Amino acid sequence: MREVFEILTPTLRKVLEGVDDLPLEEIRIRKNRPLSLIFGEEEVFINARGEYTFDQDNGVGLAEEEFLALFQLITASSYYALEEELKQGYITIKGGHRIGFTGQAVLENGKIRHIKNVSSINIRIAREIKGVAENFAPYLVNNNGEPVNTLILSPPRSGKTTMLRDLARIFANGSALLGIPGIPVGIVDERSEIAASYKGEPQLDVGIRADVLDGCPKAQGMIILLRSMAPKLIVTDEIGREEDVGALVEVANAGVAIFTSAHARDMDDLKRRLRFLPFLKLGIFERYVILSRREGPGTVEAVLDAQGKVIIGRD
Amino acid sequence: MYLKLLGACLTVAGTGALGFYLGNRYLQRVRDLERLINLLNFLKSEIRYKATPLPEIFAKMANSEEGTVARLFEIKDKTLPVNQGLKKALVEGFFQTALLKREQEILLAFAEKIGMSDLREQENLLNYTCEQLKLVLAESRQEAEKNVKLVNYLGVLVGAFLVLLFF
Repeated sequence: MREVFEILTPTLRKVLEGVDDLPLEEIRIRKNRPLSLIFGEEEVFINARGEYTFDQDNGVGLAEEEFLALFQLITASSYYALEEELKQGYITIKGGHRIGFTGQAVLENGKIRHIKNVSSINIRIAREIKGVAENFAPYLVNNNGEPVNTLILSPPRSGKTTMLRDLARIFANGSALLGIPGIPVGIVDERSEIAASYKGEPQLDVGIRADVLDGCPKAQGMIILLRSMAPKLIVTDEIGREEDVGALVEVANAGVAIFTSAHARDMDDLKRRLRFLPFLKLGIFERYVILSRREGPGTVEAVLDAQGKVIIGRD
Repeated sequence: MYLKLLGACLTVAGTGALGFYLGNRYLQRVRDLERLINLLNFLKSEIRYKATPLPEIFAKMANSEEGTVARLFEIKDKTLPVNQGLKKALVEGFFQTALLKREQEILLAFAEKIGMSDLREQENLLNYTCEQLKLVLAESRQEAEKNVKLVNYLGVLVGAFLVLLFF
Protein backbone atom coordinates (compact mmCIF):
# COMPACT_ATOMS: atom_id res chain seq x y z
CA MET A 1 0.00 0.00 0.00
CA ARG A 2 2.95 2.35 0.60
CA GLU A 3 3.51 2.56 -3.15
CA VAL A 4 -0.15 3.42 -3.70
CA PHE A 5 0.00 6.24 -1.18
CA GLU A 6 2.93 7.76 -3.08
CA ILE A 7 0.75 8.37 -6.12
CA LEU A 8 -2.27 9.77 -4.26
CA THR A 9 -3.11 13.44 -3.77
CA PRO A 10 -2.78 14.74 -0.18
CA THR A 11 -6.60 14.76 0.22
CA LEU A 12 -6.92 11.15 -0.84
CA ARG A 13 -4.00 10.13 1.35
CA LYS A 14 -5.74 11.66 4.34
CA VAL A 15 -9.03 9.94 3.54
CA LEU A 16 -7.35 6.57 3.15
CA GLU A 17 -5.18 6.79 6.28
CA GLY A 18 -5.50 3.58 8.25
CA VAL A 19 -6.96 1.65 5.35
CA ASP A 20 -3.68 -0.27 5.05
CA ASP A 21 -4.81 -2.66 7.78
CA LEU A 22 -8.06 -3.46 5.97
CA PRO A 23 -8.50 -5.89 3.07
CA LEU A 24 -8.92 -3.13 0.47
CA GLU A 25 -9.02 -4.53 -3.07
CA GLU A 26 -9.84 -1.54 -5.25
CA ILE A 27 -10.12 2.24 -5.17
CA ARG A 28 -12.51 3.39 -7.87
CA ILE A 29 -12.26 7.07 -8.73
CA ARG A 30 -14.57 8.68 -11.27
CA LYS A 31 -14.32 12.37 -12.10
CA ASN A 32 -17.07 14.40 -10.40
CA ARG A 33 -18.74 11.23 -9.09
CA PRO A 34 -18.52 9.47 -5.72
CA LEU A 35 -15.30 7.67 -4.98
CA SER A 36 -15.72 4.08 -3.83
CA LEU A 37 -13.56 1.56 -2.04
CA ILE A 38 -14.01 -2.15 -2.67
CA PHE A 39 -13.44 -4.50 0.26
CA GLY A 40 -14.22 -7.98 -1.07
CA GLU A 41 -17.96 -7.93 -1.75
CA GLU A 42 -18.51 -4.62 0.06
CA GLU A 43 -18.49 -1.19 -1.59
CA VAL A 44 -17.82 1.74 0.71
CA PHE A 45 -18.11 5.46 -0.09
CA ILE A 46 -16.55 8.53 1.50
CA ASN A 47 -18.82 11.29 2.77
CA ALA A 48 -18.13 15.02 2.86
CA ARG A 49 -16.58 14.71 6.35
CA GLY A 50 -14.09 12.15 5.04
CA GLU A 51 -15.80 9.25 6.84
CA TYR A 52 -16.70 5.88 5.36
CA THR A 53 -20.34 5.30 4.46
CA PHE A 54 -22.41 2.64 2.69
CA ASP A 55 -24.81 5.31 1.45
CA GLN A 56 -23.88 6.12 -2.14
CA ASP A 57 -26.01 9.27 -2.11
CA ASN A 58 -23.75 10.77 0.56
CA GLY A 59 -20.57 9.80 -1.26
CA VAL A 60 -18.27 12.49 -2.55
CA GLY A 61 -15.65 12.27 -5.26
CA LEU A 62 -12.84 14.21 -6.83
CA ALA A 63 -13.49 17.43 -8.68
CA GLU A 64 -11.83 18.13 -12.01
CA GLU A 65 -8.69 19.78 -10.63
CA GLU A 66 -7.85 17.12 -8.07
CA PHE A 67 -8.67 14.34 -10.50
CA LEU A 68 -6.19 15.85 -12.95
CA ALA A 69 -3.56 16.18 -10.21
CA LEU A 70 -4.11 12.51 -9.34
CA PHE A 71 -3.66 11.49 -12.96
CA GLN A 72 -0.47 13.54 -13.15
CA LEU A 73 0.88 11.96 -9.98
CA ILE A 74 0.08 8.46 -11.28
CA THR A 75 1.82 9.08 -14.59
CA ALA A 76 4.59 11.24 -13.04
CA SER A 77 3.38 13.82 -15.58
CA SER A 78 4.98 11.61 -18.22
CA TYR A 79 2.03 10.28 -20.17
CA TYR A 80 4.21 9.69 -23.24
CA ALA A 81 6.49 7.33 -21.27
CA LEU A 82 3.51 5.08 -20.51
CA GLU A 83 1.97 5.27 -23.95
CA GLU A 84 2.25 1.57 -24.76
CA GLU A 85 0.76 0.53 -21.41
CA LEU A 86 -1.97 3.14 -21.63
CA LYS A 87 -3.06 1.76 -25.01
CA GLN A 88 -4.08 -1.34 -23.09
CA GLY A 89 -5.92 0.76 -20.54
CA TYR A 90 -3.75 0.12 -17.50
CA ILE A 91 -0.32 0.54 -16.00
CA THR A 92 1.47 -1.35 -13.26
CA ILE A 93 3.22 0.69 -10.58
CA LYS A 94 5.89 -0.24 -8.03
CA GLY A 95 4.62 -2.94 -5.73
CA GLY A 96 2.71 -4.55 -8.58
CA HIS A 97 -0.48 -2.52 -8.06
CA ARG A 98 -2.43 -2.03 -11.25
CA ILE A 99 -4.13 1.18 -12.28
CA GLY A 100 -6.80 1.06 -14.97
CA PHE A 101 -8.05 4.05 -16.97
CA THR A 102 -11.02 4.85 -19.14
CA GLY A 103 -11.74 8.01 -21.05
CA GLN A 104 -11.81 8.96 -24.70
CA ALA A 105 -10.09 6.46 -26.99
CA VAL A 106 -8.12 8.03 -29.84
CA LEU A 107 -8.06 5.70 -32.84
CA GLU A 108 -5.63 5.42 -35.71
CA ASN A 109 -6.22 2.93 -38.53
CA GLY A 110 -8.93 1.33 -36.41
CA LYS A 111 -6.58 0.70 -33.48
CA ILE A 112 -6.34 2.56 -30.20
CA ARG A 113 -3.49 5.09 -30.35
CA HIS A 114 -4.04 6.28 -26.81
CA ILE A 115 -6.68 7.21 -24.29
CA LYS A 116 -7.19 10.90 -23.57
CA ASN A 117 -9.49 12.89 -21.31
CA VAL A 118 -9.32 10.16 -18.67
CA SER A 119 -12.45 10.20 -16.53
CA SER A 120 -12.22 7.01 -14.47
CA ILE A 121 -9.31 5.52 -12.56
CA ASN A 122 -9.36 2.15 -10.87
CA ILE A 123 -6.52 1.32 -8.50
CA ARG A 124 -6.32 -2.42 -7.85
CA ILE A 125 -4.26 -3.30 -4.83
CA ALA A 126 -1.90 -6.23 -5.40
CA ARG A 127 -1.80 -8.55 -2.44
CA GLU A 128 0.17 -11.74 -2.70
CA ILE A 129 -1.03 -14.61 -0.57
CA LYS A 130 1.85 -16.98 -0.17
CA GLY A 131 1.13 -20.61 0.52
CA VAL A 132 -2.41 -20.79 -0.93
CA ALA A 133 -1.39 -23.44 -3.45
CA GLU A 134 0.61 -25.58 -1.03
CA ASN A 135 -2.33 -27.86 -0.22
CA PHE A 136 -2.76 -29.09 -3.76
CA ALA A 137 0.67 -28.49 -5.37
CA PRO A 138 1.86 -32.05 -4.54
CA TYR A 139 -1.03 -33.38 -6.69
CA LEU A 140 0.29 -31.57 -9.75
CA VAL A 141 3.43 -33.69 -10.11
CA ASN A 142 4.03 -37.12 -11.63
CA ASN A 143 5.80 -40.04 -9.99
CA ASN A 144 9.18 -38.48 -10.75
CA GLY A 145 8.22 -35.29 -8.94
CA GLU A 146 7.99 -33.36 -12.21
CA PRO A 147 5.08 -30.98 -12.79
CA VAL A 148 2.30 -32.12 -15.14
CA ASN A 149 0.25 -29.93 -17.49
CA THR A 150 -2.41 -28.27 -15.38
CA LEU A 151 -5.38 -26.05 -16.19
CA ILE A 152 -6.90 -23.94 -13.42
CA LEU A 153 -10.60 -23.18 -13.90
CA SER A 154 -12.57 -20.52 -12.11
CA PRO A 155 -15.01 -17.67 -12.61
CA PRO A 156 -13.47 -14.15 -12.61
CA ARG A 157 -12.01 -12.83 -9.32
CA SER A 158 -11.72 -16.27 -7.77
CA GLY A 159 -7.97 -16.33 -7.35
CA LYS A 160 -6.65 -17.97 -10.53
CA THR A 161 -3.73 -15.60 -10.85
CA THR A 162 -2.90 -15.79 -7.14
CA MET A 163 -2.80 -19.59 -7.43
CA LEU A 164 -0.61 -19.51 -10.54
CA ARG A 165 1.79 -17.09 -8.82
CA ASP A 166 2.03 -19.28 -5.74
CA LEU A 167 2.52 -22.40 -7.85
CA ALA A 168 5.31 -20.66 -9.77
CA ARG A 169 6.91 -19.71 -6.45
CA ILE A 170 6.62 -23.23 -5.02
CA PHE A 171 8.12 -24.91 -8.09
CA ALA A 172 10.80 -22.24 -8.68
CA ASN A 173 11.95 -22.33 -5.05
CA GLY A 174 11.32 -26.02 -4.49
CA SER A 175 9.90 -27.32 -1.24
CA ALA A 176 11.43 -30.14 0.79
CA LEU A 177 8.24 -30.25 2.84
CA LEU A 178 6.06 -30.82 -0.22
CA GLY A 179 8.64 -33.07 -1.92
CA ILE A 180 8.99 -30.68 -4.85
CA PRO A 181 12.49 -29.95 -6.20
CA GLY A 182 13.27 -26.42 -7.43
CA ILE A 183 13.16 -26.15 -11.22
CA PRO A 184 13.54 -23.31 -13.75
CA VAL A 185 10.13 -21.75 -14.28
CA GLY A 186 9.29 -19.47 -17.22
CA ILE A 187 6.40 -17.06 -16.73
CA VAL A 188 4.70 -15.38 -19.67
CA ASP A 189 2.93 -12.49 -17.98
CA GLU A 190 0.99 -10.87 -20.78
CA ARG A 191 -1.01 -8.56 -18.52
CA SER A 192 1.60 -8.16 -15.75
CA GLU A 193 -0.75 -9.84 -13.31
CA ILE A 194 1.24 -12.89 -12.20
CA ALA A 195 4.55 -11.27 -11.27
CA ALA A 196 3.25 -7.67 -11.37
CA SER A 197 6.50 -6.51 -12.95
CA TYR A 198 7.52 -2.88 -12.81
CA LYS A 199 10.12 -1.95 -15.45
CA GLY A 200 10.62 -5.66 -16.13
CA GLU A 201 11.33 -6.61 -12.53
CA PRO A 202 8.87 -8.87 -10.68
CA GLN A 203 7.33 -7.05 -7.73
CA LEU A 204 5.74 -10.15 -6.25
CA ASP A 205 7.53 -13.31 -5.13
CA VAL A 206 7.54 -15.80 -8.00
CA GLY A 207 10.50 -17.82 -6.75
CA ILE A 208 14.25 -17.74 -7.21
CA ARG A 209 14.35 -19.79 -10.41
CA ALA A 210 11.57 -17.94 -12.21
CA ASP A 211 12.19 -15.94 -15.39
CA VAL A 212 9.44 -13.50 -16.29
CA LEU A 213 8.61 -12.33 -19.79
CA ASP A 214 6.45 -9.34 -19.03
CA GLY A 215 3.81 -7.82 -21.29
CA CYS A 216 4.41 -10.38 -24.05
CA PRO A 217 1.58 -12.11 -25.94
CA LYS A 218 1.22 -15.63 -24.53
CA ALA A 219 1.76 -17.66 -27.69
CA GLN A 220 4.90 -15.76 -28.71
CA GLY A 221 6.14 -15.64 -25.14
CA MET A 222 5.89 -19.39 -24.60
CA ILE A 223 8.00 -20.05 -27.71
CA ILE A 224 10.55 -17.38 -26.75
CA LEU A 225 10.89 -18.87 -23.26
CA LEU A 226 11.29 -22.39 -24.66
CA ARG A 227 14.16 -21.25 -26.86
CA SER A 228 15.85 -18.77 -24.59
CA MET A 229 15.53 -19.92 -20.99
CA ALA A 230 15.09 -23.73 -21.17
CA PRO A 231 12.41 -23.83 -18.47
CA LYS A 232 11.00 -27.07 -17.10
CA LEU A 233 7.68 -25.42 -16.34
CA ILE A 234 5.90 -22.58 -18.12
CA VAL A 235 3.26 -20.58 -16.25
CA THR A 236 0.85 -18.32 -18.07
CA ASP A 237 -2.58 -16.87 -17.42
CA GLU A 238 -5.91 -17.20 -19.23
CA ILE A 239 -5.40 -19.12 -22.43
CA GLY A 240 -8.17 -19.05 -25.00
CA ARG A 241 -6.90 -17.53 -28.23
CA GLU A 242 -6.50 -19.53 -31.40
CA GLU A 243 -2.73 -19.00 -31.53
CA ASP A 244 -2.34 -20.34 -27.98
CA VAL A 245 -3.20 -23.86 -29.23
CA GLY A 246 -0.12 -24.09 -31.46
CA ALA A 247 2.12 -22.70 -28.72
CA LEU A 248 0.79 -25.23 -26.20
CA VAL A 249 1.49 -28.07 -28.63
CA GLU A 250 5.05 -26.84 -29.09
CA VAL A 251 5.57 -26.56 -25.33
CA ALA A 252 4.16 -30.05 -24.77
CA ASN A 253 6.30 -31.50 -27.58
CA ALA A 254 9.38 -29.97 -25.99
CA GLY A 255 8.64 -31.94 -22.84
CA VAL A 256 8.05 -28.80 -20.81
CA ALA A 257 5.12 -28.72 -18.40
CA ILE A 258 2.58 -25.91 -18.46
CA PHE A 259 0.40 -24.41 -15.73
CA THR A 260 -2.29 -22.13 -17.09
CA SER A 261 -5.83 -20.98 -16.41
CA ALA A 262 -9.17 -20.39 -18.10
CA HIS A 263 -12.44 -18.65 -17.27
CA ALA A 264 -14.91 -21.46 -16.55
CA ARG A 265 -16.87 -22.52 -13.48
CA ASP A 266 -16.14 -26.24 -13.87
CA MET A 267 -15.40 -28.93 -16.46
CA ASP A 268 -18.94 -28.89 -17.88
CA ASP A 269 -18.78 -25.13 -18.29
CA LEU A 270 -15.38 -25.46 -19.99
CA LYS A 271 -16.69 -28.08 -22.45
CA ARG A 272 -19.62 -25.83 -23.35
CA ARG A 273 -17.33 -22.99 -24.41
CA LEU A 274 -16.46 -23.43 -28.06
CA ARG A 275 -13.18 -21.58 -27.92
CA PHE A 276 -11.79 -24.09 -25.43
CA LEU A 277 -12.66 -27.15 -27.55
CA PRO A 278 -9.33 -27.10 -29.45
CA PHE A 279 -7.49 -27.08 -26.10
CA LEU A 280 -9.50 -30.02 -24.79
CA LYS A 281 -9.01 -31.93 -28.03
CA LEU A 282 -5.26 -31.64 -27.60
CA GLY A 283 -5.61 -33.81 -24.52
CA ILE A 284 -2.48 -32.39 -23.00
CA PHE A 285 -3.87 -31.44 -19.59
CA GLU A 286 -3.35 -34.05 -16.91
CA ARG A 287 -4.80 -32.05 -14.05
CA TYR A 288 -7.68 -29.59 -13.69
CA VAL A 289 -7.96 -27.40 -10.59
CA ILE A 290 -11.44 -25.99 -9.95
CA LEU A 291 -11.59 -22.78 -7.90
CA SER A 292 -14.53 -20.78 -6.55
CA ARG A 293 -15.29 -17.92 -4.16
CA ARG A 294 -17.41 -20.10 -1.91
CA GLU A 295 -15.20 -19.47 1.12
CA GLY A 296 -13.52 -16.40 -0.31
CA PRO A 297 -11.32 -16.09 -3.39
CA GLY A 298 -9.09 -19.10 -3.98
CA THR A 299 -11.37 -21.77 -2.55
CA VAL A 300 -10.15 -25.04 -4.10
CA GLU A 301 -13.23 -27.05 -5.01
CA ALA A 302 -11.44 -30.00 -6.61
CA VAL A 303 -8.38 -31.27 -8.37
CA LEU A 304 -9.29 -33.59 -11.27
CA ASP A 305 -7.18 -35.88 -13.40
CA ALA A 306 -7.11 -36.00 -17.20
CA GLN A 307 -10.33 -38.03 -17.29
CA GLY A 308 -12.12 -35.64 -14.96
CA LYS A 309 -11.89 -38.02 -11.99
CA VAL A 310 -11.67 -36.26 -8.64
CA ILE A 311 -8.24 -36.62 -7.03
CA ILE A 312 -9.02 -34.31 -4.16
CA GLY A 313 -12.29 -32.48 -3.59
CA ARG A 314 -14.23 -30.64 -0.94
CA ASP A 315 -17.31 -32.86 -1.04
CA MET B 1 38.94 71.16 -7.26
CA TYR B 2 40.18 67.61 -6.76
CA LEU B 3 36.95 66.78 -5.03
CA LYS B 4 34.95 68.08 -8.02
CA LEU B 5 37.14 66.08 -10.37
CA LEU B 6 36.62 62.97 -8.29
CA GLY B 7 32.84 63.58 -8.25
CA ALA B 8 32.77 64.04 -12.02
CA CYS B 9 34.75 60.85 -12.57
CA LEU B 10 32.48 58.90 -10.25
CA THR B 11 29.36 60.24 -11.99
CA VAL B 12 30.62 59.28 -15.44
CA ALA B 13 31.82 55.88 -14.16
CA GLY B 14 28.48 55.24 -12.43
CA THR B 15 26.24 56.09 -15.35
CA GLY B 16 28.68 54.35 -17.70
CA ALA B 17 28.51 51.18 -15.56
CA LEU B 18 24.72 51.41 -15.56
CA GLY B 19 24.80 51.70 -19.35
CA PHE B 20 27.07 48.66 -19.62
CA TYR B 21 24.84 46.73 -17.19
CA LEU B 22 21.72 47.52 -19.22
CA GLY B 23 23.54 46.70 -22.46
CA ASN B 24 24.70 43.43 -20.96
CA ARG B 25 21.10 42.53 -20.07
CA TYR B 26 20.30 42.54 -23.78
CA LEU B 27 23.21 40.18 -24.46
CA GLN B 28 22.36 38.04 -21.44
CA ARG B 29 18.79 37.66 -22.67
CA VAL B 30 20.10 36.39 -26.02
CA ARG B 31 22.39 33.92 -24.21
CA ASP B 32 19.57 32.77 -21.91
CA LEU B 33 17.24 32.22 -24.85
CA GLU B 34 19.90 30.19 -26.67
CA ARG B 35 20.46 28.08 -23.58
CA LEU B 36 16.73 27.64 -23.05
CA ILE B 37 16.32 26.37 -26.61
CA ASN B 38 19.26 23.98 -26.08
CA LEU B 39 17.59 22.66 -22.94
CA LEU B 40 14.26 22.18 -24.69
CA ASN B 41 16.03 20.31 -27.52
CA PHE B 42 17.59 18.05 -24.88
CA LEU B 43 14.13 17.50 -23.40
CA LYS B 44 12.80 16.65 -26.84
CA SER B 45 15.51 14.03 -27.41
CA GLU B 46 14.97 12.45 -23.99
CA ILE B 47 11.24 12.18 -24.64
CA ARG B 48 11.51 11.02 -28.24
CA TYR B 49 14.34 8.52 -28.03
CA LYS B 50 14.37 7.39 -24.42
CA ALA B 51 10.86 8.06 -23.10
CA THR B 52 12.52 9.21 -19.88
CA PRO B 53 9.99 10.32 -17.24
CA LEU B 54 9.83 14.09 -16.75
CA PRO B 55 11.11 14.22 -13.14
CA GLU B 56 14.34 12.54 -14.29
CA ILE B 57 14.71 14.82 -17.32
CA PHE B 58 14.11 18.00 -15.31
CA ALA B 59 16.68 16.86 -12.71
CA LYS B 60 19.25 16.39 -15.51
CA MET B 61 18.36 19.76 -17.03
CA ALA B 62 18.67 21.56 -13.68
CA ASN B 63 22.15 20.08 -13.19
CA SER B 64 23.35 20.99 -16.67
CA GLU B 65 25.89 23.67 -17.51
CA GLU B 66 23.31 26.04 -18.94
CA GLY B 67 23.61 28.69 -16.22
CA THR B 68 20.72 30.28 -14.36
CA VAL B 69 18.24 29.18 -17.03
CA ALA B 70 18.91 25.56 -16.08
CA ARG B 71 17.82 26.33 -12.49
CA LEU B 72 14.33 27.14 -13.84
CA PHE B 73 13.82 23.39 -14.16
CA GLU B 74 14.83 22.58 -10.60
CA ILE B 75 11.63 21.31 -9.03
CA LYS B 76 11.93 21.63 -5.29
CA ASP B 77 8.35 20.88 -4.26
CA LYS B 78 8.09 17.13 -4.79
CA THR B 79 4.59 16.89 -3.30
CA LEU B 80 3.08 18.63 -6.33
CA PRO B 81 2.45 16.98 -9.70
CA VAL B 82 5.48 17.68 -11.91
CA ASN B 83 3.63 20.26 -14.05
CA GLN B 84 2.61 22.33 -11.07
CA GLY B 85 6.07 21.94 -9.56
CA LEU B 86 7.59 23.24 -12.80
CA LYS B 87 5.23 26.20 -12.90
CA LYS B 88 6.20 27.10 -9.35
CA ALA B 89 9.91 26.73 -10.16
CA LEU B 90 9.50 28.91 -13.26
CA VAL B 91 7.79 31.69 -11.34
CA GLU B 92 10.29 31.57 -8.47
CA GLY B 93 13.45 31.31 -10.58
CA PHE B 94 12.55 33.71 -13.33
CA PHE B 95 13.99 36.87 -11.75
CA GLN B 96 17.44 35.25 -11.72
CA THR B 97 17.50 35.15 -15.51
CA ALA B 98 17.53 37.91 -18.11
CA LEU B 99 14.37 36.57 -19.71
CA LEU B 100 11.33 38.80 -20.03
CA LYS B 101 7.61 38.33 -19.31
CA ARG B 102 6.95 37.20 -22.87
CA GLU B 103 9.31 34.23 -22.48
CA GLN B 104 7.81 33.46 -19.09
CA GLU B 105 4.35 33.28 -20.62
CA ILE B 106 5.60 30.89 -23.32
CA LEU B 107 7.22 28.68 -20.68
CA LEU B 108 4.19 28.68 -18.39
CA ALA B 109 1.93 27.66 -21.28
CA PHE B 110 4.43 24.90 -22.06
CA ALA B 111 4.48 23.75 -18.41
CA GLU B 112 0.69 23.52 -18.46
CA LYS B 113 0.77 20.78 -21.10
CA ILE B 114 4.11 19.04 -20.84
CA GLY B 115 3.76 15.33 -20.04
CA MET B 116 0.00 15.39 -20.47
CA SER B 117 -0.35 13.69 -23.82
CA ASP B 118 1.17 11.06 -26.08
CA LEU B 119 4.55 11.25 -27.79
CA ARG B 120 3.28 12.85 -30.98
CA GLU B 121 1.45 15.64 -29.17
CA GLN B 122 4.42 16.19 -26.86
CA GLU B 123 6.69 16.60 -29.87
CA ASN B 124 4.24 19.07 -31.36
CA LEU B 125 4.18 21.00 -28.09
CA LEU B 126 7.97 21.11 -27.88
CA ASN B 127 8.35 22.10 -31.53
CA TYR B 128 5.77 24.85 -31.08
CA THR B 129 7.46 26.14 -27.92
CA CYS B 130 10.90 26.05 -29.54
CA GLU B 131 9.59 27.90 -32.62
CA GLN B 132 8.10 30.61 -30.44
CA LEU B 133 11.34 30.96 -28.52
CA LYS B 134 13.36 31.08 -31.74
CA LEU B 135 11.23 34.00 -32.92
CA VAL B 136 11.83 35.76 -29.63
CA LEU B 137 15.54 34.93 -29.94
CA ALA B 138 15.73 36.48 -33.42
CA GLU B 139 14.04 39.64 -32.14
CA SER B 140 16.23 39.77 -29.06
CA ARG B 141 19.35 39.51 -31.25
CA GLN B 142 18.13 42.44 -33.35
CA GLU B 143 17.34 44.41 -30.21
CA ALA B 144 20.76 43.62 -28.77
CA GLU B 145 22.49 44.64 -31.97
CA LYS B 146 20.55 47.87 -32.08
CA ASN B 147 20.64 48.79 -28.42
CA VAL B 148 23.79 47.48 -26.74
CA LYS B 149 26.17 50.11 -28.13
CA LEU B 150 23.50 52.78 -27.80
CA VAL B 151 22.89 52.05 -24.13
CA ASN B 152 26.62 51.78 -23.46
CA TYR B 153 27.31 55.19 -25.04
CA LEU B 154 24.21 56.67 -23.51
CA GLY B 155 25.41 55.69 -20.05
CA VAL B 156 28.69 57.53 -20.54
CA LEU B 157 27.02 60.49 -22.29
CA VAL B 158 24.41 60.91 -19.53
CA GLY B 159 27.28 60.94 -17.04
CA ALA B 160 29.12 63.54 -19.08
CA PHE B 161 25.95 65.64 -19.39
CA LEU B 162 25.40 65.54 -15.64
CA VAL B 163 29.00 66.60 -15.08
CA LEU B 164 28.56 69.57 -17.41
CA LEU B 165 25.28 70.46 -15.76
CA PHE B 166 26.33 70.30 -12.12
CA PHE B 167 30.07 70.77 -11.95
